[in-house]
Amino acid sequence: MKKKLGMSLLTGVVVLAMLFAMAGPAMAAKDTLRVGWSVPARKWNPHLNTAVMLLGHLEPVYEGLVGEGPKGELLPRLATKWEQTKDSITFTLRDDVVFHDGTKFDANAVKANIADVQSGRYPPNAKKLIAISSVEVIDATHIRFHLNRPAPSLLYTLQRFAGLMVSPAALKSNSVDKVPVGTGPWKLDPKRTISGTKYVYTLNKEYWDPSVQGVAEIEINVLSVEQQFNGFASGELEVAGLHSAFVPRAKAAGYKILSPEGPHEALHIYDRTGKIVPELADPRIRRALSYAIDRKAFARVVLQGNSIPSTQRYLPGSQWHSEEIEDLSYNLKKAKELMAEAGVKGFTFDTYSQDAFFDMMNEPIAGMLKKIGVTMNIKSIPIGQLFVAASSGKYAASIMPLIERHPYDFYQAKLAPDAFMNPFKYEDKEIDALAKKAARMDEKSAAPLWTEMSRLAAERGYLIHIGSVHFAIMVSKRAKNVKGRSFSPYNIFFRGVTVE
Amino acid sequence: MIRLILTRLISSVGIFIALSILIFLLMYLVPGSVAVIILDDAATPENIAKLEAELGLDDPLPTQYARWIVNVSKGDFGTSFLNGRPVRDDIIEKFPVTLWLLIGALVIAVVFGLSVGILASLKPGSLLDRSSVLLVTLGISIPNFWLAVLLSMLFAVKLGWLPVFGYTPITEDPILWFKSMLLPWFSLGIVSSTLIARQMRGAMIEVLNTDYVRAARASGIPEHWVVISNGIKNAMIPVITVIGFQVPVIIGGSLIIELVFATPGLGSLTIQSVLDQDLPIVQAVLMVMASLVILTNLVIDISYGWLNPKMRVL
Repeated sequence: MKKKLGMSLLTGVVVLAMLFAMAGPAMAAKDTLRVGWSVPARKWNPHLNTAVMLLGHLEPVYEGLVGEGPKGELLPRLATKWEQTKDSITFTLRDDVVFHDGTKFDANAVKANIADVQSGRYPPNAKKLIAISSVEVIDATHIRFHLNRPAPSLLYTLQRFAGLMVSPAALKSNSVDKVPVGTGPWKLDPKRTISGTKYVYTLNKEYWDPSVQGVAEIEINVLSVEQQFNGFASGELEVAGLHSAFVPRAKAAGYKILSPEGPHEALHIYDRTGKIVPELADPRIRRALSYAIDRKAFARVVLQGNSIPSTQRYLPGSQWHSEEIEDLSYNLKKAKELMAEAGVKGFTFDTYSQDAFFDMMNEPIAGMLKKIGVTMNIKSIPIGQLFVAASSGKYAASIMPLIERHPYDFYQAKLAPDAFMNPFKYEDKEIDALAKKAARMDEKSAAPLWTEMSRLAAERGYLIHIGSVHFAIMVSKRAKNVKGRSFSPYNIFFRGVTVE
Repeated sequence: MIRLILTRLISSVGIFIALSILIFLLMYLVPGSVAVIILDDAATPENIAKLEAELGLDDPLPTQYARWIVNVSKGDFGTSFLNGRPVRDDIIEKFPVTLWLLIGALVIAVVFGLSVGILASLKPGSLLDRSSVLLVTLGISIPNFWLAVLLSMLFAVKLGWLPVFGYTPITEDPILWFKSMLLPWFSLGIVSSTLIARQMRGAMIEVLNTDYVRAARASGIPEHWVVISNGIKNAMIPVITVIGFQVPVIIGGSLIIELVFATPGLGSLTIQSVLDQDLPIVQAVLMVMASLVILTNLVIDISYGWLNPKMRVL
């Protein structure tokens, strides 16, 4: 009896071992680009999104009039050329483009898309197109946006969410809520997509430029940072985000790592009026916070070198970088002196974190501020509520990315009295005057004014800059022509990528 | 027996109603307005007021509960706050994954648990028995998520035999499906199997030392038949309860295990929805999981009564 049972058990173990062995190594699917991603897709209508991490899910499917280069440069896409004057922008459109549902792309489709964004059901994007007072369809391939105010950054805005083109038929029927319908090189395959986990994109055979369709399929897998690293290590992913905690292991393994310039991170001081934290109304206190932050140590230890520390918004090399800015870098003695001069021993303010990345940013900074008696009380908020929290008026300050690339957008989002992220409606007349003047000038003449505006915002402690955080990306040897996307964590361009 | 079934049915319905009320009230435990969560970045005061009116949040709580439970009974769990997708679609998509996970883990738990328990009980105190006790103690002590990480590192990352993450539907590719489920099954099943093994060993030792087993042996019935017909059959009565208890244990464990392997079942959906404060999904998943556990307990109770006549009078 015992023998029989023992034999049965042994047989079971052998069968299981065979099953494991039969499973075999995880082979790379031919002509498929498999990507690890940290967040699931939210809404398929791009006009209802703003979080840059969601761009990856939209990128294969949607295109705008204006394309985006690796450093954010403007490229022709659905518009072959454009001409901007003080009062308008006129676009010449491609005449060989169709949406995934067969609808023809033309000037009327563009007009319907601008109307969708401006409908106001998603204010953050509607505000981005506020400068467009009306849209004039000249003919099928020509369209003019009439402007009611200066719009120096409008073309950059059109590269992303608010400028991506959705089939007007899908907008009308609301089918875009379920499946994305754009003009992009790939289409979402809803049957093979598992919501929240895996998104499969297949080739758009009607695409107007087949030369950019380097792979037949794109598979975006929503994974934790550990799974991305392990999935990449085991050969199940061609591209994966690399969390700073894994950088030493990735470097030791000799993986190819891309580090496109990431979003600039700063401790945003919202309560400049001192409404909920009176101490923050004093510029000396805000500057003390800046002196208390050891940016170099933060970049080296916390971000494993994937960061360029900075006390101002624009890095060296940028046309808006200031050489004349006061030294606001780490100086604990000076920070304590300023606190003493202001007669403040210490104070507490609430801030928030939505995930591990923000915990990683907040906790070391909280530790540094503690050294001058400032307690940063970190509260947990749900994922996707970052901008709601920032604009709620409940928090005096928070570490947030500056995703706005152009100084005009930076001003509109953070500094203007009616800015979305200026919940206490603080007004700095000098900065307002500079921004309004620069917005009416051409790019070259406006540059010194934008530089001055950025310098003043830093020196007056409206934003305590930490630096530019580079979100490293691992790329396997099989994947070629992968380019990182600047100012967009872990984002790459899918166009032109091939897999061997 | 009919009395037992009726009693258990009534108490199950009572538990279900009580749980549904608690699950419904979740919406009111979240700080702030639900409308703010739904609107996200579009949460202007006008939009919030408009949406609150549309959702009927001003109605009395019993009215809101009645409306919700009627919709739930029709399979309408509302729409996701985040992506506007009907929650029912998510449940339909994810439920089979968790069900497969549950079935596979349970099969592993039962097969391994019973085999080890029976083998160990045949010669108490032997090397085999002591080894099995050691294994059982080890199994009970290991948290399933840690076991999952170890298995993943060994079989997926180091050896490359199995995928690190993901899931392939059985209809798409049965072999890939099997590959993607093996590690989650073992991670969940091994710990439960040790509990079953412990119970089976104890029950078998007790039964094999009873007078009627001795009488059976004395009457010349072959040993393997004594073990099967007298030993295993009678020892199974308490073991079935333990197996039943493993259903909620495995469902609970699936929350973490699905996350570890990125398995797109109800567990990972729950965690993601809790993080996103996507309440309709959280409520729907809890309702489905609670129903599954209540139903399992009901079946266990009834089968226990069927196997053990003494239970029928309770």
